[in-house]
Amino acid sequence: MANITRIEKLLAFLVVVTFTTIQASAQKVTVTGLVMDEEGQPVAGANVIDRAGKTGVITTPDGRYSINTEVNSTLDYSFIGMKTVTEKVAGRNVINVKLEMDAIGLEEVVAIGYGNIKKEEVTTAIARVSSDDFVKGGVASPLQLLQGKVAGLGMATTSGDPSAAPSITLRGISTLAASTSPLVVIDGVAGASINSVAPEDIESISVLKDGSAAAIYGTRGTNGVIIVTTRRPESGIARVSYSGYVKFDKLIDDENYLSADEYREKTKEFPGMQDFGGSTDWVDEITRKPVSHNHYLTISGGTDKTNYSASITYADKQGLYKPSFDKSLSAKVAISHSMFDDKLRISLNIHDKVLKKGLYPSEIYGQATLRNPTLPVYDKNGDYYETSNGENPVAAMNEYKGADKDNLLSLYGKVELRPVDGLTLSASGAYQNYYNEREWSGSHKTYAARYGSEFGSATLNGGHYDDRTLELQADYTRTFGYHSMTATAGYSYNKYVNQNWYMKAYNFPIDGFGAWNIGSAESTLDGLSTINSSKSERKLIGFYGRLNYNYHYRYLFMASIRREGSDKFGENNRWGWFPAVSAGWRISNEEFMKNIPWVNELKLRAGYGVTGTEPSASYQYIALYNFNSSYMSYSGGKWVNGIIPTNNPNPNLKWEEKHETNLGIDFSMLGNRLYGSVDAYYRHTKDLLYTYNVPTPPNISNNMLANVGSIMNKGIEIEVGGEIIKTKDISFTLSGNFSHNKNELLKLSNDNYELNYLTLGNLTHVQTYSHRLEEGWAIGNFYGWKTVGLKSQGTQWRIVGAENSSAGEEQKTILGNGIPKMFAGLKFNFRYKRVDLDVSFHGAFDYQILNQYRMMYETLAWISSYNLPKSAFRKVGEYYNYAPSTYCDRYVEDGDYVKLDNLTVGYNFNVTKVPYIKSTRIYVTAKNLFTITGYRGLDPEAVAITGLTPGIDSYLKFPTLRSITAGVDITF
Amino acid sequence: MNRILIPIIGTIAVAVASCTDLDPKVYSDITLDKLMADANENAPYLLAPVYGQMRWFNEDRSVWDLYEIGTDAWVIPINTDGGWNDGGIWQRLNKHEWLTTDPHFQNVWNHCWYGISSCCNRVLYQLGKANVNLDEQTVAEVKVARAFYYYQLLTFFGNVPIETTYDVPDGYLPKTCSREEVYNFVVSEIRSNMDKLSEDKLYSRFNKWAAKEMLARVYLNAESWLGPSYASKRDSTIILCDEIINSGKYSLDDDYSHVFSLDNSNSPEIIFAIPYDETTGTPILHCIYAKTQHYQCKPMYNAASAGYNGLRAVPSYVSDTFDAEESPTTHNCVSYHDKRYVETYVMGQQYDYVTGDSLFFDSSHKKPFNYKNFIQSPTAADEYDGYRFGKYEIKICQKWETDQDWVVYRYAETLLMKAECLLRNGDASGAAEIVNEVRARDFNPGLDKSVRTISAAKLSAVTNVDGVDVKYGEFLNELGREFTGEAMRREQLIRFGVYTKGSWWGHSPKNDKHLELFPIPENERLTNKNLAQNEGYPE
Repeated sequence: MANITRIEKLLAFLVVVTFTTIQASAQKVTVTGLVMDEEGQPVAGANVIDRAGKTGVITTPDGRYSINTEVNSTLDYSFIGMKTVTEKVAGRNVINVKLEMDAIGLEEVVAIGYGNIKKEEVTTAIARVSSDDFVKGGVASPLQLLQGKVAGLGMATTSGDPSAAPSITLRGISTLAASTSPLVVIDGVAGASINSVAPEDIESISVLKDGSAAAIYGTRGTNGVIIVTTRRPESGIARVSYSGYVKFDKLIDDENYLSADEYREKTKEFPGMQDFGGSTDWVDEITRKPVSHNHYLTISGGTDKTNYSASITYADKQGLYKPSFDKSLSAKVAISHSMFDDKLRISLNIHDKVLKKGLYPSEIYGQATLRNPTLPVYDKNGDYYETSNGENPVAAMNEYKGADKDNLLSLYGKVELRPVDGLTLSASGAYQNYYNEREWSGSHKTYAARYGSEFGSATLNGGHYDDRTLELQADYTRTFGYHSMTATAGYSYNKYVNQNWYMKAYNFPIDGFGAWNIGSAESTLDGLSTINSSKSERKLIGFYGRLNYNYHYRYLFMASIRREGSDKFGENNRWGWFPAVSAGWRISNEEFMKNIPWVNELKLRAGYGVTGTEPSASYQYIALYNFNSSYMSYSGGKWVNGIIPTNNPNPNLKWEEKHETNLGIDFSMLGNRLYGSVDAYYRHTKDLLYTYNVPTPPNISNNMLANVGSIMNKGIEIEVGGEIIKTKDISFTLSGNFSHNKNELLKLSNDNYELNYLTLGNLTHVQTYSHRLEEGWAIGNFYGWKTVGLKSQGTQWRIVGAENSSAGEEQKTILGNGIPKMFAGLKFNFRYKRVDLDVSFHGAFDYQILNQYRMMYETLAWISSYNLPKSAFRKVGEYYNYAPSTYCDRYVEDGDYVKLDNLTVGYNFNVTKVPYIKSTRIYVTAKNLFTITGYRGLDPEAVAITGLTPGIDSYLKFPTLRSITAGVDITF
Repeated sequence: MNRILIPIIGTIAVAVASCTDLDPKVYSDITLDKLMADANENAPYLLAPVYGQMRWFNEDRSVWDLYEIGTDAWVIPINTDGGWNDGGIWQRLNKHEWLTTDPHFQNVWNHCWYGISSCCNRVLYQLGKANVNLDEQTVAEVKVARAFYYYQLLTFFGNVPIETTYDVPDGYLPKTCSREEVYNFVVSEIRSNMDKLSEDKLYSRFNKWAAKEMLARVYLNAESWLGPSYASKRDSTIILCDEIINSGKYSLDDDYSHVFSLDNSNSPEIIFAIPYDETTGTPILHCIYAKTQHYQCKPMYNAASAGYNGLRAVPSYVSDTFDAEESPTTHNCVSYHDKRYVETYVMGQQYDYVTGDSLFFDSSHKKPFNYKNFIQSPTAADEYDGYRFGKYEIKICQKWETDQDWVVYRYAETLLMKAECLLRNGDASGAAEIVNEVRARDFNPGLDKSVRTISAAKLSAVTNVDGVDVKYGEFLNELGREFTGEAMRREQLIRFGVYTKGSWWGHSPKNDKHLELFPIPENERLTNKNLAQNEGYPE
């Protein structure tokens, strides 16, 4: 509380500084009164501004105020979310005021990049999700707040790692070589890391889906733009809120593998299985029931001139494996101040997050399920019981230690000048600095130390990512008659520098230093330790302009253009144009619609826009050389390092361009009780960046990054919601969304570069590829053999097309596709008086998953090595399966699922009689409750759906979890 | 208001003008300008890859594989656990059913052309342009090394482009030259440069003698590459071999195993070797350890890394080539005379290097770790099936990364090349004399002469090798005994007419001579329409 009073004092001081220069000269009067809301409840923290004296006061907690003014002055009463009331003093001493809820103030404002517009003015495909609608109950990444909420944004939680980011796609896959993740803009800073912001701090997220919306971000907008707006400073007396929750996670029961008793039973029947006499549940040995807690405290307040908000979040998340955790502390301070009659406004944001993650051996779950359950954990001497068949998972977990430490700092400042009415000039600067450090070490008790080559090992690596942005922007807004327009022009300069270092040493004579005495390793003394460092930078410069115009809020028009240059291209190809145009027709605002009162809003939208993609790596057009020890030679008794070209430069590299057309309709009817939107899009990406084969000779190496192919995505997105019941005590809302996308690789070749097809995704051990991509195909096709049972006493699969011979490439065919064609989300919200219930489902449909666990181990060929899945002990036709692990149609399963992913029950206490407390809410959330699916793996959602090799369910992954969260939100 | 606006707009204008600079800044790589500014200083680093690139020849799926797999000597079967299936590429090599898309051809093509285009042509061009005065000997050495890369193209693909400069116009696409043109180019390059080279023993670089050895090998194979009109080239082989012999620089090592030991750099026999270094990692000498040893082999050498259990000796070759006796039931060696037999393979029960205990594959000690000269099936090899490549000494604490030096040319080959030419020229007794000179170190002197030596009559007789009646077949067998695994078998079988006619374990003959050339890799022909496919392969 001490802090709060200090901040209040500071504020009072600022208020005094701001207003002391004003002198009064007319007849004085003191006005007192009460400010109430519509229901007669006092409004605390409302502003009362005296126009004559240009002074202001804030109402007390019981809604009272007292202000010195002049008899002829006018007072403005305002409070956020309420209509401002103006009262002439007219000699009165007592003025009581009732403030009404402000419909316009509640009107949704949508972030469109470099500005905001009212929702009704939007002409492009933008989805806005506000904090009320976020996914509840503790998320690993802020992106998960959007799961199932935005049509066209496919998302899968692929891991139970408390730090893991979800796998996301927006409107299919539009690029081959570059990243598929959307651009993230946090409070105006483009290119920020989504993880740098605490989920609780987010006020709303806008997703710019189509090209006409994203084109203002030009080169980085191809995969869409996610604009995060954090909680802004609000004027009024200081308000303090606390949110906290405790979360309990549980592993979803894995019924696939045998327990020790079951294993022992099977040894009687199946030769090759060995009973070592122990009884170990290896998964139990390495896991725990994680408990996590999260605390968020925020303070905000201020006057109409100066306001502030500050928050602190502390999160302590436990992971399923004993060494895994994610602890973070983040703080945010935002202050803004207006001066010179609101002609100048200064905003400052400081934001920092420090986090530490506990690392664990990455493949440990797979190792645990596959390990013979009759093996003991320890031998009779108390050492780890090891065999030649993979490391003891408990040893791996205990004897390797690692941590990943990050510091994500963001500084932002903005100055806005309004020299004349309607014109705003602004300059903003952002500096982001991400520091990462990772340590990983193995003790003398690891398998590698006892039986392998590294008698203790340590790796220490890290990096530094430095991102600077300067933006200058002018906005001009004008309304004349029924015409209103906003014009925006700006300049953006962005540079990032990336530095990395790495060191690794092994053979430590004394154990226990972890990563912090690398100099003592024998490998260091012998010159065998590894040391590396590298640094690169990238510059991006853009000029942008946008015009929003509407006539009578009936005919809407928006055009934007960005001229952008990147230093990743040669001089002739650096600059690209990225135009966009869109228009809307609000039919509901037409005269003839006046007779149809049940239609509240009906809008048609159409847009077209071009966005670009640059290569992921810098310098690809310049000839670069470097030392490479793979090319050193031995001469005159010593090794001479070799310098070779590090790339095959392509001076003709240019922007990859995506052209997108979007048609949409928004509607709201029956007194805004039924609302929704439908969007259809066609996106065509051309000059696809991909690494192509080039002839050698004359080229020195046989591939080159070039712009060649093209990809098409088309789809439809539907969002519908309805307030089915809406009374004082009971309300019931139902909302849902659906999206369908079709993807096709149109071209992979041109006159200079030719590729027949791509084989993608190396499946280890079965030693073949998983996916193939050809012109005319969708990205993500599984390509392999079809089988019709076993042959040769069950030692080989009978492959279609080669039933009696050995199968090859010719017998391979498309086995499915790993990208869901459809995503859907459904949400119920039910409120009875102060209790509310929130239930949400989401699902993905029409796609396949390669069940790698079955593919690898559902065969008795591995019987002497591993604890095989129960399904391996079932006959296939007349034989038991003794065939080598084979990639075939048998293991490509339908992935379709519907998941009850969130169920929240909340209660809002009546606190009107409780002093100091404004609101209190408690809630309980259950996540990942159940899944309806035909998929036989653990969780169909836990499979990456992005990239060029989607749909592979790795058997080594961190399994997804079920969780229960209990939380409380209190506002003071 | 203008007093505020003008400076602001002015500042913005200046800022904008100065902030459109997009020249990139490079930190961790060397730009060409920077490299060439100090070209004299940097020349040794630029020249190092001329030899460095050769180490890629012994990586997995490269030059060594094409010389040895698909011959009667080595095979990579599919293991019972499905390992080494690899989409059938090894099976196709074994059976001579390869496809134009198979990865070996692309890798060999890449490794050779990178040597030619990037390591030799580019470096000569760039140093020339930077006015670095390379002495005549260095230029000659680069050109002879380049001929060594062309040699591989000549023997594997035959008809390939001949490119000697890096400086080509935009859009230039090389054209296929005939095998004869490529042969003439290689011959003339070596001839015109070999005498400019150092006469000193250099071990890991081309000196005069290494160049002559290469040329002798070119001439030795000329007939099998280009037809009977090139048979007379064997006289040139004899002359070149004699020059090497008479230089007195080299001699046979007393101990066959020393040639392949970890300290072989002091062997008097080695003319040219490619050294490897385990600390820098790739490329590695794949065939001597990683590719062949079992994945539980670590205790054998107290090794840091285990093998991949791939490469095995073809059982019929082991039995037919060496004079050893193996038990028909256990398939383990019973007796042998020729020391090269045990030097060439890892065989039999294996032991823990530290404790000396017998090794087992399983913890219940039911499956002994015993390499047998027997493989169940080419598509279902048991884990311990087959002898393993054991010619090179394995280091205690061996890793996948190798420290061994690969022997390319050695004096025994100089002698046996000469012997082969004498034999083909009708001088069987001259040939026998040389053969027995080389064999002398491999037998216990107390053994009967008929065991230690091979007679002239036996050498010149028709002998059945791999089911083919072969003129000088016993000489072919002797080449096998001396050079197994030394990246020569394919050329030997082609010279003696066995490559496409012979049958051996897991292989039946295709009787199709076009298989003596590998196909031009599919991808290369996709990207360069000027490249012709070799005869007999789908267009």
